[in-house]
Amino acid sequence: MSHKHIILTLLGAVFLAISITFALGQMATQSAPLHQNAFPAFTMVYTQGKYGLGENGKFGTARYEVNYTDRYHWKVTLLESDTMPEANGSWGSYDGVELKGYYAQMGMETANNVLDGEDPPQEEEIAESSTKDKNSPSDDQSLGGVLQNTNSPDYAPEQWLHPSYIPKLLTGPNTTPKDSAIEGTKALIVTEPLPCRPLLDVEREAGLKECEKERVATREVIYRSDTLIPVQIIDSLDNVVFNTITVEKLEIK
Amino acid sequence: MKINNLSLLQKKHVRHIAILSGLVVLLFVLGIQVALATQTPVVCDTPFAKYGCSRVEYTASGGGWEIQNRKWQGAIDGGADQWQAYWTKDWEYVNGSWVFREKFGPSSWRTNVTMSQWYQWANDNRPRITNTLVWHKFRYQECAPDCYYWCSQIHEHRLWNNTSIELSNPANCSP
Repeated sequence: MSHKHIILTLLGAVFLAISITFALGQMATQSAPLHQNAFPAFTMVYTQGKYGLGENGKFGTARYEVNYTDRYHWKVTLLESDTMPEANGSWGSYDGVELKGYYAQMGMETANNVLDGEDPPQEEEIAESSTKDKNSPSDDQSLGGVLQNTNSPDYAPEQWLHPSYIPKLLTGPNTTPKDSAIEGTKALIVTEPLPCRPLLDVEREAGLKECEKERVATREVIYRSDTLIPVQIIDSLDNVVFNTITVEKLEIK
Repeated sequence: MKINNLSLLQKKHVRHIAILSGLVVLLFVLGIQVALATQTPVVCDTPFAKYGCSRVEYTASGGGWEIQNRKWQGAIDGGADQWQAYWTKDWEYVNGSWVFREKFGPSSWRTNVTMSQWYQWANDNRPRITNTLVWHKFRYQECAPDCYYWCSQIHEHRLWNNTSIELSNPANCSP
């Protein structure tokens, strides 16, 4: 084989390798879920039924609308509350610069520029001696405080409504994936033991019994397979359901 | 004369005893008032009560209610990375509408996994307000691995009927 042939063969092999790599890369990109670190823009209407939304732990329901562009641009509006109708129309929003809120029951709107930096902490007092074991570690105070940078901080409209929520749960030690009966969705269950403590009003209202050893907290989440947006959440304590979130409408833009 | 002097002396003693008794009674009554300060029902993140709880301690005052201490406790439970009492707001009902009076917070950031001891913002040296409502909200930072904030629902404490409630207002970090 001449030098020319060897070089051509090598070039051909390299070209082939590059082509295969490119093709595989394209396939990976096209089949990669849209959810990687981002929700698509969407509008959502969901209903929450929860013990505690009524006075002294009583059950209440509320309906919300979410308008979400990206993690720095969203608005949540309370459409309807059966226990606090005077709050209907209240909303909270974020535009990457200002967090805003409107409290309909007070007729008051608030705003805070998050790029101005954090307010310094206000010194608090210890209210009463702890009932914890004397040998237990004391409350750890964070030394780092809040990361200060010039980028907009990331604020979630709800604890469960963030692109990292499901991925983080899926890597947790207490999470078990499960099948979902709803087409296009998957499900998971997070189970966590919690220590006993005196019954709260909300627990009496829900019919929870006194704790003997420990409680078992359960959160079941059903989420869209393509976007990882939760569509149903059920929270239980010792198999007593306390809180449900049900997405009635989800429109991906 | 002797009898008269004894009478005068007795009268003096009686007067002193009466004054002392009155002071003792007054101190006792005041002591009871302080000792019998009322607390609103504890409100926690429902249902797990593993992220934050709040309550308000108050006393009766001039036909209304006076806040003594705004109390809270919190934790990260291992889900969040740090937590703080985001704000506490005092409201007063005046002439048919709620008037915002004062805002407290934020507290220091903390990283304890299980529920902390109770902390408070006290009422020392503050103007007295009555007919009050107190709101409380927690903030959390969670890194998964990119860091973001989320907040609790507002805990409302109603001093006029000693009730507490989680508000239906959207649970985000509005100021």
